[in-house]
Amino acid sequence: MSTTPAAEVEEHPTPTFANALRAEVLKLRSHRPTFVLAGFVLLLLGLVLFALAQDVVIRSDLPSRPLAALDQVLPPVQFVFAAGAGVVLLTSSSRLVGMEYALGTIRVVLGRGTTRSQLVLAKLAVGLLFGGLLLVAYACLTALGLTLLTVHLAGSTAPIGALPAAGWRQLGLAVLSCAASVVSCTAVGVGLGAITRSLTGGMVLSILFFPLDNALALVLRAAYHLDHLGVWRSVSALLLGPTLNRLPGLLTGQAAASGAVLPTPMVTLAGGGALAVVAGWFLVLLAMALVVSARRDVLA
Amino acid sequence: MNSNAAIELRGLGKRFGRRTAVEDLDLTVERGEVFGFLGPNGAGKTTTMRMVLGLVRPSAGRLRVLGGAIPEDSAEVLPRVGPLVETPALYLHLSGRDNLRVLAAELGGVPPGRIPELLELVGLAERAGDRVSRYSLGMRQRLGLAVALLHQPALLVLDEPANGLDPAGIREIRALLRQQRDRGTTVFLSSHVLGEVERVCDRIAILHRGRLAYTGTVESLRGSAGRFRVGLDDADRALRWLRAQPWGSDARLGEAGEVEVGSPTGRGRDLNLALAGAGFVADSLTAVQRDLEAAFLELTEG
Repeated sequence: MSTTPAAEVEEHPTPTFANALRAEVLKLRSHRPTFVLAGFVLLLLGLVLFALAQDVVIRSDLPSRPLAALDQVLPPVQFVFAAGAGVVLLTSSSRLVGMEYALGTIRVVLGRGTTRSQLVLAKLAVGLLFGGLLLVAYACLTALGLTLLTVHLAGSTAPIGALPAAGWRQLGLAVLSCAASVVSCTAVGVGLGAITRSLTGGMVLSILFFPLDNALALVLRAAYHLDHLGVWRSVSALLLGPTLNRLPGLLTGQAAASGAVLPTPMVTLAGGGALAVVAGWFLVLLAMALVVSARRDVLA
Repeated sequence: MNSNAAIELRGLGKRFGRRTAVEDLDLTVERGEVFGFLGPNGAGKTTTMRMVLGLVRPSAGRLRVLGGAIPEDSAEVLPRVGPLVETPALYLHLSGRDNLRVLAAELGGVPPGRIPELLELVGLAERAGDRVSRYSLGMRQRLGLAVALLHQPALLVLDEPANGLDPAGIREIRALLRQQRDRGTTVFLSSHVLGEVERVCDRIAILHRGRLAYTGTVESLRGSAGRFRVGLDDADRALRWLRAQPWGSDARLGEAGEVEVGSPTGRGRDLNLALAGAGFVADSLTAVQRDLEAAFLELTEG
């Protein structure tokens, strides 16, 4: 250790939400495994598009019935995003919160004036930002992949130009459905990270959240078959995972491939109702994260 | 409450379930002083420091830091505090330099030039690009100090800052703390290295089982032994007389031939008067100072 530093610091540095956000971006940016996982998701998309290129139905539909071909292509592409990007977002957002407690850096961050709500909101915002960028990258690669697929199968991009307005609307709603998945996974990750205050616990619970949620839908379905009480059907409509499974189909009016495999609510909601369930879960998880962060002592 | 104090605790208490960690703690740390906070493990030092930093909410009492109430004014006050609580908390997957960058971004207002200067200051400039996971405990401790100093705080709250440092590192910390005091920074530090506390602290407090056992200067703690070393011509005869007194039964002959004894009232003046009354003339009379460790153990082990 040597001499006193000379660089002058602002007399009263003020931790703000913008400062907390900037710091969270730096923390996320420096975590290589998150980006490796995101790369795997994009690689998986490439494999799915390659598999779709071999599909004889798509090959025959594409030149004359582009909308029917789109109906074949969209569900698996959406499913890969929901599952792959979901895992990336669940782990990265719960890690953003849990690592502060695991490393004890929460003491340094809060001990210098960043408020607990600023920290939680900054982590949520960075998770959403990362999810948004992942969605944009995925959408761009999908667009590029589908263009190449069309040229490969039809010899030109004419089927894309011939896509009716309903097809473009369907694409827009597919993006909206993926955005709902981004929002849900980020909120689950941040919320469970804040509640468990543990890196491992937060990540494990976040990964298990949707399987448990889907398993609960199956339990409710079995209960309904046993006693035919309407309450099981109503409760199933409030589950996040099954609602997300059904969301692409509800928004586009098509039966999504994921919906055929994974549990769905027993009550058929309108697209707006399903989005309200997603928004409700987001608000509940955010409120829980804020309350537990504000009220509990930091003993990490 | 004294608005000019850097830290002011009044009736501060903290309970974790049935366990009382801190009880009815009154303490004032004046601005610009280096204040040592001592106590055995589990005495409540770290809990008190966490309350000062707004990490733990008090169960009772009031707490002001740099004139602001905690936790109500935390957002205004804590940006002027540099904390290092327990082991240095760092992002292990980041380099030392990136740790400082991230934490500087969190606070805002830290010029980029400050980071290389601090790395130089704590002796980590050459290893600044290495991941912190590859740092030794001593290096992490140095980086933790750099984090605490990042925004030139008005108050440093340091929990065991010399932990893991070699003797040269401890000496450097001492110099750094003195330098900070000369800049007008208040330092509130806990340490188990009593010798270090003795060398750098203006005042100390000793916490025992969550309660304040002593507060004052190191000198007064050491001088409060109430024993004196008396130089006398006829030490053997004086020793016999002293041992016959109810307050002098433990009188003994020191290595240099002086008599070591307590005073009837605890004051040297009264011991001198008693000796003179018995016909003994003292050539010298000096207070026996205990070493800090002995005083500390006496207070904390009863």
